[in-house]
Amino acid sequence: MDQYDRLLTLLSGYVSPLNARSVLNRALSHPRIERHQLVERRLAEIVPRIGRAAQLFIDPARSDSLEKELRALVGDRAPPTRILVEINGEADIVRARAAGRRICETFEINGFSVQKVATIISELSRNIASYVGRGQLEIVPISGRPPRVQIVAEDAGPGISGIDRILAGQYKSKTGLGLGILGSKRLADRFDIQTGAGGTRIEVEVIL
Amino acid sequence: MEERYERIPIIQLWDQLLVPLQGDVTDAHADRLCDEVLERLRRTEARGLAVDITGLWVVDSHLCATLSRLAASAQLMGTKTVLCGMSPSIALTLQTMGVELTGVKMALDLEEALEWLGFRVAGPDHRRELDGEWAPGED
Ligand SMILES: Nc1ncnc2c1ncn2[C@@H]1O[C@H](COP(=O)(O)OP(=O)(O)OP(=O)(O)O)[C@@H](O)[C@H]1O
Ligand SMILES: [Mg+2]
Repeated sequence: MDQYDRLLTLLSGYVSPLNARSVLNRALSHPRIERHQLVERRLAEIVPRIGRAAQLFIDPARSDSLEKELRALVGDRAPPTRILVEINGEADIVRARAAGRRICETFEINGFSVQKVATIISELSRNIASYVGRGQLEIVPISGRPPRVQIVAEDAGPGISGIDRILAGQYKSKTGLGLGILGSKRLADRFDIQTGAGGTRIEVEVIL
Repeated sequence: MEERYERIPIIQLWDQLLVPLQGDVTDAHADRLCDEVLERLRRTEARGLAVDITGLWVVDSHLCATLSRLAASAQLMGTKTVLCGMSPSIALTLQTMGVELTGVKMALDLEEALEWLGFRVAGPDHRRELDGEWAPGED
């Protein structure tokens, strides 16, 4: 079943099969998209055109529902975009958390996994803001079943001394609970850290 | 980004204070919250403090440390503190991280928190009329 057939089936749930075909052909006509060009990554472009073309035939009471189904189709394939947040101070922690929230929203995920992502982002960006002053945080959504989010925190600071003790839970923080790094590791499905005189790079992944 | 000044609502209920936290709390916001609440406790000589975190989006280790500090300071001033409204996913997150809110009394929701502080619902129990599903003995 190709994309053309999938769309046809979806539309047939709302209009007669004949009209479904005509809606789809109309949506594909300006500018012209051939059936074999109707690949997943072009869906985002075609879906609004289908919505408009269907207006002519659909029961107005059901057009919202069609709209939703069409959007779900695109949402699923929306090209994931990574977000890079420069950390220069405390205010950027909130920006980083908001970026994480936006990314989780594109996957329509909420609950515990979003909390995990947001909390890890918060811990890693705060550490950069408090102990180095500047650095960056990259949030990378990865589509798939299940989708994942990768968080990469990087700075060119002095490195974390005693990282082994921190990860072993033997560290007593003077400034906080001392659970930023270890807590992030416990929340993550994958955790890598490289730290030394040249700076720190922490890469974690959360399965949504 | 310019600094947004958000006022922290501190609501006085007779001799108790209620602080509902909302949205995404910055570190500066949390520190100011601590100072302002303690100052209000001193002025009003409140006996109890309920912090409702139902509206919070993220609670990380820093915010937990701030809330513990607030509760400990209030305790020293003779005010008991109760934290309520922690969502299941925030609770799971903190639990997984190993964060403990030591010395902080937790309540499920604001009603339970206020009851713990000594508030009592007077008169007939209206919840029973409002909620048809309410089964006797569930209370
Ligand atoms: N990016 C970094 N560069 C240099 N040192 C760091 C960095 N991140 C953390 N550290 C050091 O490692 C220690 C442990 O960090 P961690 O985030 O685990 O705990 P904390 O920041 O002390 O407390 P919490 O995060 O619980 O508030 C910090 O106290 C700090 O000295
Ligand atoms: Mg930290």
